Amino acid sequence: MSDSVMTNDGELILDSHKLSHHMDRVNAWENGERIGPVTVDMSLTRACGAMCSFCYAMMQEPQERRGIKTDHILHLLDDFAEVGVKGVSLVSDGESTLSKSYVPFIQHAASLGINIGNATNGWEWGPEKSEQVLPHMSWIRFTVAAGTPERYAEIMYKGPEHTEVFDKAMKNIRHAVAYKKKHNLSVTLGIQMVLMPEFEDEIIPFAKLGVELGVDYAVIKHCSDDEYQTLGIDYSKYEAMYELLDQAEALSTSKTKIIVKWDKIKDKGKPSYKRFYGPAFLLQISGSGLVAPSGMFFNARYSKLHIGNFTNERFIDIFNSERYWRAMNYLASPSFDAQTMMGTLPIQHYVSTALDNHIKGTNKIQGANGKKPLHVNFL
Amino acid sequence: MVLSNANKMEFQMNKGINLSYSNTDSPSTGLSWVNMTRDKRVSLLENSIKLFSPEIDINVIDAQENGQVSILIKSSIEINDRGAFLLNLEDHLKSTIDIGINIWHEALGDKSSLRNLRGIEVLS
Repeated sequence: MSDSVMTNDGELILDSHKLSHHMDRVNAWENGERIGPVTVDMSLTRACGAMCSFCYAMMQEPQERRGIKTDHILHLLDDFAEVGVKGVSLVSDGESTLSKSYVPFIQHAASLGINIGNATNGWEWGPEKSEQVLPHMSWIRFTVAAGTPERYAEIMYKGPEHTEVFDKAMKNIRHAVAYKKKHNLSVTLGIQMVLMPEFEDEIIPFAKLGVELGVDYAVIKHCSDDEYQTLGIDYSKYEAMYELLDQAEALSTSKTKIIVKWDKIKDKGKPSYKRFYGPAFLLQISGSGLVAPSGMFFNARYSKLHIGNFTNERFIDIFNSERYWRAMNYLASPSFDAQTMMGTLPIQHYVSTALDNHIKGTNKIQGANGKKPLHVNFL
Repeated sequence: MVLSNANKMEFQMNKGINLSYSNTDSPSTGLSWVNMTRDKRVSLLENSIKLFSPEIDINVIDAQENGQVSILIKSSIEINDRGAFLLNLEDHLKSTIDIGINIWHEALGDKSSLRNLRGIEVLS
């Protein structure tokens, strides 16, 4: 793929997919086999201490929230290993660092050879916690909504006067950067801005902050919205910010790359695909324990696509059930229209676009040769 | 495609994901449905749902011209059964009333008291 950026640690792909490195899974899927997901995106809780104005979790409330205990997540990881999951990203609909299972989860995943990434606000991620997990992580991506303390606190918390949350996050990010360097760790450290049109003033301060922190990258991405436009994102307004985004990218240094997810930003919220093939490769699980094909379907509204809950049934049994494959097949059937029946720009967007083009024959996925990119098991 | 048409039915029943429909448009609702009043659609749906599952209490909240139907399940159904039940119900309504029908459960708002301070209302 050409949509990559070279960092000091290797090739980083954030604005595309990595299916070319998983052709065994693509070929099996195309041949009608039941494949395990390469990547699972999940959370260990739906709780969060932040209140980000762009947060999609506000639209993801299912019928039940179940408490996820350490036993549950250890079994879950064992089952992931059994079905061939290679990478787990702790992102989804909650702040996983708040869970008592957070450290055991990461350490057990590492023992099974499953790669782990984590998106976090970093507020509850002091040295006593971060140092236990950093050696086992592939990547950590800190949500940093803005480059200035007041706007950060306004967007992510109760108001501009609460800059203590910014200070706490910066302290913990700086520690992680220093710890990585001191111990020569392979973990990639990044910060992320979820761009709503009204945050335009923070694009350049965010990029400058990334450089100042010395993280490996600072990425600016679109904001997802549901099909009812609950968050009110006006995608037509992104175009007016292209010049500023170009300027932000130009601030990249040899140490810190400023990356804009152009593909999603230019997509303007409407996918090219009608069928939604991505979840078979990149499954999502809610911090409520709910297993559904995508985070787009966590809300009770999409109950027909709710497959099970791993706290009252082993994941391996859910995966092997007809329910699982019926839900996946529903998304591949004419009964489902991805252009009108789900929110915009899901985490499976790149993968779904590529698989759809592959099946239509308009752009076949080719197997990759040569050195693997960073985080190859995170599609 | 890797599979022939003759194998598709067996494929759907026993294997992975049917990839035959990438270019297919989703079905639209027919004239009969479109020309009905909203109340008539709701009544038709409620009668059909009662026949399908008399033991499950379901309210029809809305039935739009484009086939998008919003329902509320008032009975308790285990998570393991709920999805399959609703997909079966949708199949039933498609085959007995209109192929363009899609059912959706009533949406739930965020239960996080902190995030709720944002005042976001989940729309349906």
